Amino acid sequence: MIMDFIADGIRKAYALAISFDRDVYEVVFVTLWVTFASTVVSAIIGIIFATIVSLNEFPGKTFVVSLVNTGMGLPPVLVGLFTTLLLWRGGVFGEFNILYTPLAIIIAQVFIATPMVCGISLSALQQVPKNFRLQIRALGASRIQMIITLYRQARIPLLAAIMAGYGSVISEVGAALMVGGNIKGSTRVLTTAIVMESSRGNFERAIAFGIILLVLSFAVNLILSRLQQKGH
Amino acid sequence: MNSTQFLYVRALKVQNGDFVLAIEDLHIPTNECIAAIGHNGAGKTTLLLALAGLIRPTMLDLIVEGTPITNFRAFASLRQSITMLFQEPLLLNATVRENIELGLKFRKIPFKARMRKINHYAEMLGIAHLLNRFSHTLSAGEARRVSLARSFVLEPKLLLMDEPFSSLDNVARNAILDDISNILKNLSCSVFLVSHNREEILRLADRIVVLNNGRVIQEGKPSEIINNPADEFTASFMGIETILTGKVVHLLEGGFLVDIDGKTIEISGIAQQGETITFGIRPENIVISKEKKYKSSMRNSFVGKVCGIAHSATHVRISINCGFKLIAHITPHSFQELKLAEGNTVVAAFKATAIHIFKK
Repeated sequence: MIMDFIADGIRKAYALAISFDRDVYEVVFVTLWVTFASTVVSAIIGIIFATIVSLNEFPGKTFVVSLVNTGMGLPPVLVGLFTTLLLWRGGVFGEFNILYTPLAIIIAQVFIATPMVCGISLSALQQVPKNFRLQIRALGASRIQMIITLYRQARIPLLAAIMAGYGSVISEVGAALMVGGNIKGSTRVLTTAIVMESSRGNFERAIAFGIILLVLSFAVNLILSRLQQKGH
Repeated sequence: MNSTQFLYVRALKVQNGDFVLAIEDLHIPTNECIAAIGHNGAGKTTLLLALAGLIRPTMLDLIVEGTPITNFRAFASLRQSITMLFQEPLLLNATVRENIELGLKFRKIPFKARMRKINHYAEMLGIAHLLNRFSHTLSAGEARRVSLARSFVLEPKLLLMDEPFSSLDNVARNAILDDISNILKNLSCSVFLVSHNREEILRLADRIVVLNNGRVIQEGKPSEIINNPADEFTASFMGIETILTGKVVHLLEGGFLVDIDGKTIEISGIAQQGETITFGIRPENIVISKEKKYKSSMRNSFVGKVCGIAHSATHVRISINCGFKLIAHITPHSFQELKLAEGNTVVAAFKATAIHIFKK
């Protein structure tokens, strides 16, 4: 029976993909837009923060690194709760009416993905020998040129950090549901759609969304992996 | 030897925890190679990093090509004419061409000029055929050549090298040293080299600087350092393998006797009665025979047992236990004639005038 569900799900996924079903395409578009935006923002913040921490010695550095590593395991529902409190009508940013919009999901997912990207980037940058940085400076690099060269040298683990950040947001459901509300045409993403369809007993449609989610996830990771492995 | 000076260090101080590097009156002439030797922790690498502008000194008073420099910002602006090679090649995960090109790109050298320089120095270092190879596929010798090309292509006025050939075998090292010597002849470049390899230093260096505990304790031509090393480390580095310490027990005309565990050694020189003296004997100055046949001008003659034999391409190193250890170098021919083996009883002799006393 389970195999029948999966087989029907695959057939349904194909049918949905080629049928240009508006609802499906809306969900896919919102998913792509939200995950892309949150991945880019968390990559920028995470990598910059990791760069600052890895290149400098300061009191409390170990504590900061521990916080980042702890953040990598932050439960998404907890992030969703925290973001909801921030964006709630009576909250700090309540006046901006961001709750139950795609922007709210992006904000929550940035909170989820940034520690992931930062933690892995920090390890990536710290494993480049210190003498490498000195050698690059000795060849006449400015500080910015040295950092860019460092990114180039650590591009494989840095891209892995971005892929991990992307993976954490595209598969995330708790925070998206809490701050997005799963509103059709607005904040319904693939993961919240799967939860909704499952709770209605529409397993074929849920499996179809699941397959589309996997394909999207794979497609983006394929592009990033090609970049990562180029020249290696 | 060119008498003009690229860099004169009037005073340079670097504080690193409890360690203080304090260098005064150090000359680096144009087109000369200065080699720095010293114990681990003597400050050699710290000195290189300070000269490269990669660490900030607590005090800086230099003259660079005639221009006085007393602050770090002004010195940092001169970094374009100074480059440094580290112990490891530290190559980018990229092609050989991209690695050699790196410094030129930082300086925004145009593409055609970059390619011309890369091809020129790649030819000189014998790596032109490797330009499209990725760095992780290179052997240790090839990687070192690439890192050298990456520095030479910048045509620096001062090249700093921190034990650049320590990971290479003798064959690879000698081949690279030949190529570097050729390049340095054509480049107007001073070199400041840190090395623990005596052959390398004697091959490249015009002058040697001995560092100890953050200070220069001796500076001079290689021949001066070899014949008159300032301390045991320098003596040992320069090939004095027998280093002994004893107490002066008797003064003679033009010399004195030193007691070491009941044995007496006659040394030519001046000392005080009761003084503790450390001295060294070059291994080629110790003569070995199977028996003491005749009187000679060698004032010191000891019976001992051979306790170690080591063969090299040019000599045989014999360790002799006479109550204290003596190290002698003899030719392979002599070794065969004497038919020496471990455990043999031999007579080891050396002149009183062949002993070098270390000043306190």
